[in-house]
Amino acid sequence: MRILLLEDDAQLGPWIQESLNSAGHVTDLLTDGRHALAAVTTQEYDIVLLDRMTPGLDGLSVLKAMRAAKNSVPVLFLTALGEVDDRVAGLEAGGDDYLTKPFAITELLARVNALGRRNSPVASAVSSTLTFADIELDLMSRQCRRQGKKIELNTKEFLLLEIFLKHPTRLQTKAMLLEKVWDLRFDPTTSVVETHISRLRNKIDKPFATKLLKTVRGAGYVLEQ
Amino acid sequence: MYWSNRIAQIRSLPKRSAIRQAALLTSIFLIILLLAGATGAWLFYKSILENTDIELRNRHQLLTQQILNSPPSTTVLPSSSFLFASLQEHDGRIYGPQHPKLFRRAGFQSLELFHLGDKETWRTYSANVGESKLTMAINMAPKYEVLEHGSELFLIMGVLTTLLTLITGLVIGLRAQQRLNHIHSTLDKVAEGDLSARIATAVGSDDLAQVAVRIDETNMRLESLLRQSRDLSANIAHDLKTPLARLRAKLETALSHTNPEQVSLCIEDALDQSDQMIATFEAILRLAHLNSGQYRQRFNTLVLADIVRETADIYQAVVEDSQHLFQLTIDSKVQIKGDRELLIQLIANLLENALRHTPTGSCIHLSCIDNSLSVNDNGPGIAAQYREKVLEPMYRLEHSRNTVGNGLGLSLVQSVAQLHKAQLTLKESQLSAQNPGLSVSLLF
Repeated sequence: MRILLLEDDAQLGPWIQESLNSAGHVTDLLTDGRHALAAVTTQEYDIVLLDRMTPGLDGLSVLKAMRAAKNSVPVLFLTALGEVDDRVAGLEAGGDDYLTKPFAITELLARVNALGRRNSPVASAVSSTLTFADIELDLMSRQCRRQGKKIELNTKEFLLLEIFLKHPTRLQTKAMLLEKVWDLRFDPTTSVVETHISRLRNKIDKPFATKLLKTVRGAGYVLEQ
Repeated sequence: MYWSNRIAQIRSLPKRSAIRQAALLTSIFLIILLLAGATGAWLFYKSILENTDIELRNRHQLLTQQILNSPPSTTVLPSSSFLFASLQEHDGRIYGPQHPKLFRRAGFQSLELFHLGDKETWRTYSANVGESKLTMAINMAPKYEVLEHGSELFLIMGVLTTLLTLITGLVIGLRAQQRLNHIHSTLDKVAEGDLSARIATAVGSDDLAQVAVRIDETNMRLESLLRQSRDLSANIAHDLKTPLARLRAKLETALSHTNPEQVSLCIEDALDQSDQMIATFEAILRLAHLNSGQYRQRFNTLVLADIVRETADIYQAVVEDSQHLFQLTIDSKVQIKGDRELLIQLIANLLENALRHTPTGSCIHLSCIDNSLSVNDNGPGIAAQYREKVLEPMYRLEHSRNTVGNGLGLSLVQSVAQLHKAQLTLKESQLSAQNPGLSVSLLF
C-alpha cells in the first residue's frame, strides 16, 4: 500500500517508515503539516498516518482540510500518551483510527492492514456465510460449524470468531479485539482477551486435529492454517 | 520607623470596614435621633399652646360671667406671676395691669410683657364683655421651661447613646476585623506555600466562624492533595526505578548472548517490561486527566445495571478461569449520568483487585442494588487503618508489593467515583463468617 506518514520526530519518523516499508508498503515521510496536505491533494494514497503535533499545520487541521475537500482516504492518528480528548477530537474530525504513542510496531502494522482492507471493495461480503478452512459461520442463522459439526457459541465468542473470519490470516492485536468486541479502549491488567480466546479455542480448535486460531507472541492472534 | 508605621495604621483606619461600618451606623442613628427629637419637641410645644388656649378661654368665660353679674369695680381681677386679667371699660378706664398691647386685638396672642418685674412670654386672650374688653393672660415661661429641660435631657441622652453606639460598633467591628486579619494572615501564609496554616481560633457559629471552618477544610484538603502528589512523584520515581533496572539488565543480557534465540527471548522480556512501564504512565496520566474534570462534559444518561451486566459479561470467564467463584446480583433500574467506559473500568479494577489479592477458591460477589454498586470478596481484606491509605495513588500495602499492579487501581476507582459524585466506602464484607474479606461499595 502507499502510505503517507506525517511525523516530525527525527527518530520515530524514519523508524516507522522503515518498519512499514519492510512490511511491503511504500511510505512517504513528511515532517511539515502543510507539505502533507499538499501531498494528499496531489497524490493517491491508500492510508494517511498523522501525528497530532507537527510544525506548519497540525495533524488535526490537515485531517479537517482533507475531509473538507471530500478526500476520504483512511486516516490513522498517532497521539501522545494518554490524551483522551485528542483521541475524541481526532475521531470526531473524521479520523478512522488512532494509536497512542508509544506503540508496538506490530500494533501499527495490524491497524494499517485493517484500515487498508476497509478501503478496498473486497471487504464488503455478499454472502451471509463466512468460511475459512473447514469453519463455517452463518451470520443469518447465527450458527457455527466445523467439519459439519455444530458448535454452540455465546454472543461474544461469535463476535470474536466473526472478526477473525472476516479478516483471515490478518493479525488481530489485543487492543483491536478489545475495541471491536467489547468497545473498550483501556488496557485491562488481567487476561480478559486471553480468557475469551482460550474459551473460543476450546470450542473451535480443541476437539479438532488442526489448530486454526494461533497466538502471535507479544502481538495478538491470527486465524491461519 | 515606629511613627511611620503608626501613621500608616491611622491612614488605613478609614479603609477598615469595621470603622466605616461603625461610623456609618452611628451617623444614621444620630440623624434619626435628631429628627425624632425635633419632631417630639415641636409636638410638645404645640400641645402646650393648645392646652393653654383652652385654659385661657375657660378662665375668660368664668370671669366674664362674674363681671356681667356684678359691676366691674367690685370684681376681683386675678393678678399673679402665673396669671392676670385686665379690663378696659368703654370710656378707656383700665382695671388691672396696663399694657398697651393687651387690648389691641381680639383673640389669642403671644406677647413679651413686663409683669411683676420680669419680661416674659405671655399667652393672652381678649374678648368683649358688654361694651368693655377683657383680656386674660397666662405666663408661658414655666411651661417652656419644662420643654427646655426635656430637650436638654434628650440631648444629653442622645449624645450618650450615640457614643455608646459608636463604641459598641467599633468594638464589635474591630473584633470582626481582628478575626478577618487573622484569616488574612493565614491565607497569606497559605499563598506563600505553608498549607499547614490554619485559622482554627474562630469560636462560635456566626458566618465568619463558618467561613473560617470552610477555609480550614479547604486547606486541609489542599494539603492532603499536595502531600499525595508529592508522595506520588516519589513513588513514581521509586516504582519505575525497579522496572527500569530490570529492563536494563534484560538488554545487557541480550547483548551478551550469542545465541539468536536467547537474544530474542531477552528482548521480548525487555519489551514486556517496557509495556508495563508504559501502562503505569498511562494510568498516571489517566488519573491526572480524571482529576481535571474534563470527562464530565462527555457524560451520558446510563442504566447502571446495564454497565454492571456488561462488565460481568467480560469478567465472569476471567474470574472463573482463575479458580475463583463469581456471583452476580442485579436488582436496579437506576439511571445515572456518567461515562460508560470509565464505569466499566472502575468495576474492572475492583474485580481485578479482588482477583489479585484473594487466594484461589475465594468468592467474588458483584452486586448492583438500586443506586448501590459493590464488589465483595472473602479474601484477607484490608485492615481498618489502611482502608483510606490504599486509595492514595501508588500506595501499596507491604504484602502486595510483589504482586502485579501499579498501586493506581483504587486511586482510579476513587477518582472515577468522585467524578460521578458517588460515595466510595471500604469495609469488611459480610460474605462469609470466618473470612470477612473486603467490601468496596459505591453509592450513586
